[in-house]
Amino acid sequence: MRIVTFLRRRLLFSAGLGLYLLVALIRPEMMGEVLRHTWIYFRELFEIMPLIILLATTIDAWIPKAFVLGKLGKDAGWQGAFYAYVIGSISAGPIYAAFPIVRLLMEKGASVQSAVIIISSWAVIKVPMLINEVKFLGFPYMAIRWVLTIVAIGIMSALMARWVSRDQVVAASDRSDDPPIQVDVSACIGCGLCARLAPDVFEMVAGKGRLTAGGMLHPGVHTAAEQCPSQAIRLHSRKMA
Amino acid sequence: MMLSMFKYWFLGIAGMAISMRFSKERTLRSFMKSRQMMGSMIFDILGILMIIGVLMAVVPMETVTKALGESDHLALAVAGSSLAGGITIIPAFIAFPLIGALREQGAHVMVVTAFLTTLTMVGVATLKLEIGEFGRRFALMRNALSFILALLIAIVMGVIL
Repeated sequence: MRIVTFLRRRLLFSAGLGLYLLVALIRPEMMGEVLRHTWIYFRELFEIMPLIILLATTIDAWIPKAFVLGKLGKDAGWQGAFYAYVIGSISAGPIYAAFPIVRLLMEKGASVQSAVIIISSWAVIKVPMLINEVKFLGFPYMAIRWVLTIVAIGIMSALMARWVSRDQVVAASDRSDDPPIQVDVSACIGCGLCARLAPDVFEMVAGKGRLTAGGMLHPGVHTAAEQCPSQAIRLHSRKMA
Repeated sequence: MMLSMFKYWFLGIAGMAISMRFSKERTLRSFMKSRQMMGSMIFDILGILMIIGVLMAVVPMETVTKALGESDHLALAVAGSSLAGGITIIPAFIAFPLIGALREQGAHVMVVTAFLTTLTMVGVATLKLEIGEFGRRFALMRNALSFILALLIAIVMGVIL
């Protein structure tokens, strides 16, 4: 049963395994070739993977984010757009990690244009990923796609700024019934960082971070939410303020 | 020969050593984050490598070319791959080797690019989360616009390359 859950959670891995089994059963003589090709691509990926991931997280840790985030206001214009691209391009983590962060920024006054630029560039033009793209698709491909994507995001953010207003977004996403701090247990990897940074607020129960019954005003809460490796802590800024 | 495989590793280690001199705390924190990211992707990576192995060794090149590379039904193939990209969630990190392999096997640039651009710009699977944070209007418009622009990028790339 546990194997079934394991495979179901990892669809891509299961699909690969299934294909391997299929070949092994129907055309066993081809297995050597299959393994050879997998090995070639494994080597290519293995060569650059640690560098890419290290680069992503190191950039994330070293760029003075507070400074850049301060440049995203309503009337920030071209400069704001530039910094929005920068934020999106250097951040580490999956796209859904960007959503709560960008929403917080909008509540603090970031424009719709900045929000769209950050979300879109977060997904497509991450600097370390470009290295990967050059490796497997060549430099011209990467360069052309990069330029086209920047242009496309620019057009998109300008259109969105016309069609949607910031107030609409902030109002639409109002979830005032939600508790001010939430821990997503399914995302939590049990690293214990939050409990160390804000021991009054978080505790570890059965290997997962959890809110304590007590206070919410520990200064480490924001740090914990920001540094949580799986972005499992959500803060609702209006109540935190 | 074996050593060349690790050339970028040395670069990474050197970078970390420099970073370490400036701030031990930040460096260790980003190192832990890297480890966690690699750990969470490892099965996806193995899966995609197995799929690529089968694709390259077993699926004949003519089949890939016929399905994803011929001009008489290119529009259909682009439509299909862009829809697939929109609903799939796999890390872009492993999408690059996959579409590299597909291209080597004869798939058209426009088709593989449509998959890549929609994969990264459009998120049907994460739409619910996006609506929760930004409201229906913002999320639906952003995804619809992203889809159109992702297609345009793919078409332009297909014409240029």
